[in-house]
Amino acid sequence: MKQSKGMIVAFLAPAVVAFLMMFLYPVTRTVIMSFFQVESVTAKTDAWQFAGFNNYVELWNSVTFRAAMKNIMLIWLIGGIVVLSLSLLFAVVLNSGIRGKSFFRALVYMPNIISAVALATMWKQFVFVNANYGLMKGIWKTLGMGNVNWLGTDMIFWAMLIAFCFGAVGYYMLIFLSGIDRIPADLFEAATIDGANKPRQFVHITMPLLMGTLKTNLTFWSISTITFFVWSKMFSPLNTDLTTVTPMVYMYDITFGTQGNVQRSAGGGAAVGVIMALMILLIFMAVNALIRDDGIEY
Amino acid sequence: MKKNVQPVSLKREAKLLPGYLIMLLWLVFTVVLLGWIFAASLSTTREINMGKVLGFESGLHFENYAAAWSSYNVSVYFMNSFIYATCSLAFIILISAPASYVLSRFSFPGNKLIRSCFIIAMSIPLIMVILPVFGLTTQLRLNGSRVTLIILYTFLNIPFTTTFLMNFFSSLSRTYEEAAAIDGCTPTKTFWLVMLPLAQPGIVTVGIFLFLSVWNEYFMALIFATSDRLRSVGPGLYMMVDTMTRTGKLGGLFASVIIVFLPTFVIYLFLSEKIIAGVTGGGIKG
Amino acid sequence: MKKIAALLVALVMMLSMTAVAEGTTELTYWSMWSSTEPQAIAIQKIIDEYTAATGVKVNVEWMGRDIKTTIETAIDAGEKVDLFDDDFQRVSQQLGGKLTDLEEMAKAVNYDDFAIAALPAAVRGWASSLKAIPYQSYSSGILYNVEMFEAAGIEAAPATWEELLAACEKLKAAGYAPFAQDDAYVRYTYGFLLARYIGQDAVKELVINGDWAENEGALKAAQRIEELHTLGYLSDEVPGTYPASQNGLGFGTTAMVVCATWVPNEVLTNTEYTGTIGMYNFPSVEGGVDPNTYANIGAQAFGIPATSENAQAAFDLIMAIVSGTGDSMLAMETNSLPCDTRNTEWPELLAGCKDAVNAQTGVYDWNMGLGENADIDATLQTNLLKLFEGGFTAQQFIDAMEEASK
Repeated sequence: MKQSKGMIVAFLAPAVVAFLMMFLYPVTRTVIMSFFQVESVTAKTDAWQFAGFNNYVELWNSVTFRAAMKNIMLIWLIGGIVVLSLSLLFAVVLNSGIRGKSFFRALVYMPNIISAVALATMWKQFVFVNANYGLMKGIWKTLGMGNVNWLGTDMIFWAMLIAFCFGAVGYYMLIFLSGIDRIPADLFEAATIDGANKPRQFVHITMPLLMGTLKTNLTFWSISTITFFVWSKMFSPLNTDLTTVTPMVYMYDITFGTQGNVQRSAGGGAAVGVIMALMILLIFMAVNALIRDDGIEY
Repeated sequence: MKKNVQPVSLKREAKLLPGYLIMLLWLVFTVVLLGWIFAASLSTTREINMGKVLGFESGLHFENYAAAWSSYNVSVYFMNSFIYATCSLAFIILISAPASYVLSRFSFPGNKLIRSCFIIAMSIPLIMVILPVFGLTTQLRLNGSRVTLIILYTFLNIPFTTTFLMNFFSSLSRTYEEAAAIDGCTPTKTFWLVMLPLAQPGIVTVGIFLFLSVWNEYFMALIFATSDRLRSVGPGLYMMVDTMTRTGKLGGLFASVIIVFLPTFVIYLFLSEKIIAGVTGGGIKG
Repeated sequence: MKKIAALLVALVMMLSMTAVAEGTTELTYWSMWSSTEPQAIAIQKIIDEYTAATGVKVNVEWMGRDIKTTIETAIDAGEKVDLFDDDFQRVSQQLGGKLTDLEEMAKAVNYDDFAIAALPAAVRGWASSLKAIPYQSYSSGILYNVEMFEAAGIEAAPATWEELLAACEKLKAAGYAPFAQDDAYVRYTYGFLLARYIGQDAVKELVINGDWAENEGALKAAQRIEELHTLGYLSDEVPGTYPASQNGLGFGTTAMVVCATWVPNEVLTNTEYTGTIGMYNFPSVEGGVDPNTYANIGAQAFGIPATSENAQAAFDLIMAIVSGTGDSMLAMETNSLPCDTRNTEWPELLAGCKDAVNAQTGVYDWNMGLGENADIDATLQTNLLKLFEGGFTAQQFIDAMEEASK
């Protein structure tokens, strides 16, 4: 086919410019800024003072940042286990031939289209604040948790995580579903003829062939949890609180300042960003090393 | 794996019972959650605080909706979200579609590099780019205008959209272009007149997905749309929830949650299949 | 040097502007209110009158509370902002260096003669001169449901901690929960107790130096909270999710809450309670240094960025809002305290707070200085919540704070 250089350049240029301006330039600048003492985000570069690893050391010494790191790791790990296993369960159930598959699929995915602020308000007010009254009280009681103060310091983190997971499941379920859909049906038919029951089929056919999809899901999960922000804000709207703080909230606070807090550090905020990006990188490498995607093409 | 609808077989359905139970439990919970919020939106603060939402002892308080609508700029938030979503959507497609076409169809030095760059960009957390971008827009005095946010949403979504559409273009047959070339069409013209219309299903799918994600976006809007007249529904609703908790107008709070929830919900009712296709299409190439 | 130069330039420009630009001036006001809040509506009214009287056009950007994230960067970037408002401590302390000095202009209108003396004094303390004009002031203490106090037979407002405990016992006997406490104000209550024991300066030293274990006052203050908990003087939902616990004052379940003069208005709107909410001053404690007449007094404040070319016009507008009929209208419509002392008429809702406020002799910062060290703020918040929940004893609380500060 005829190729025209002019056309390639013209078609690609805007997208490449967008990439340079929105990704390459900011990422580079963030990395550099994290090694400088910068008070205001808008400070000109000649007002930056080289500080070596000082910003990182300060983060390490900050009780709030350490709490934020602990929280985000719990969200990633526990939330990840819950969300990925629930979504896999739903995907398998939906694929088992039940009626109303597309209805249930749409139902489970629905929270994803609702504004997170609305969803968090619903959960907070209905399931947790309202826990002392009516219907929810009955449900919590039957679950043996009638006296739990969900928004107290011990439980608020878990309350937040449960609510977040509820909203997240649908997305990962869809990706698992599309993974299962791509497994050739004749594999299952052959297995059925060989006398393998459903659980065995799941362990020996579905699971191994879903490894690539699992990898995709893990990647997406990591990217989306790293920027955990609005849920934390919704559960601790007035004061940043050790129980719900996340790195993104911490970055927002130290970059822009909070009530009664005069110190600001954009350099520190940049360092938070760099640490988060490194964490994602680390997770990618671990996922790639641990989960072998045998590259089966269907 | 589309199967024909099977006749009801009790034995078969019984086997699936646990599956049905799980799904029904989820359904009941979702319905109760939404139902309660809806009931609360029609109750007074006093009733909500006392836990008597479903009684409606003092009647249905539709004025909560009137209050939420008129005493907050909900219509402005809606309009802003709509402007942000449609404008950035148009620009994204306009920039991404040609790029993805070129990337998927032609081989040239740098093709692979650009593709990899886009895939890496998709995994860069927002936290990593937000500060310099904010610094830049402030220095250029671009803050306080809708254009800034539209540009940012556009740029931010280009790697994802380009990658998504690349899959789509590469699945189109080359015979279309060959036919167009025989008819004397230049490659550029071929793209706009032949290939772009052919890619319409893919564009619609990714478009709906982008529209909803920009509509609901929170963090960027929080930082870049700082005054009332620029606010979109995410931060707008956050502010309403915040002030209404402060001033104790709980009925109004739930009314505003419902008001914000409804449009996306209605869209979803009609387009859920498309939206879901958008998610899985993007998920295949992660 | 740069700042001083900029200030001089601004002053010169301002003088020349007022000389020539009469009638053509346009002001840009970045407001901390959202356009639909009562404060915004009242301020808009004052602005309209001001525009009608002077011909100065005012463009208002209703930014809402997030103004704190944008105002400083906007000033740094030289955006056109002629006046803005925010919490008066933040305006003076954090932004003071970037604002126009208002001493001269204030002198010209005898501002100090009618302002509540404590407020400009605080601004001068933080910013070393008058860089901000406070308005919408509030004061603090223990807010209480007057009917419940009468029903329990409490005749005089408690002035000491012992009297307070006695009052609590009477309230409990009468079937009321004595104290409400919401999560948003746990530092406020603890701050009050701590400042009563050791004074505000020592509170600041404590949070900065972090020697919690050696500080007897810190332990004693925590023990007072533990005491309220063990004696059953806290309502069931303590610490509530703001404003859940405080609403008890209106629902007839809870008698008191440590907070500020905005509570009567909040209780009214939240619970439709129409009785009286009064206020008395936070009691003194045995062996403490501060009397019961010290309280946190605060306000919002206007500032004029040094980059503004219309400082005098902006100042005139501010004066229209903070004094005379403007101030009176703002106070009435938003149920807040007037900040022009010539406006002796208070909103009816706040009548029960008047005696306490008039008796106050000393001023504390927000959270009585506990916020001085931003880095332990979140820790303090969490540990105090635990103390109020009863999950921590006073000693455990001190240990946890000591550990976090090391």
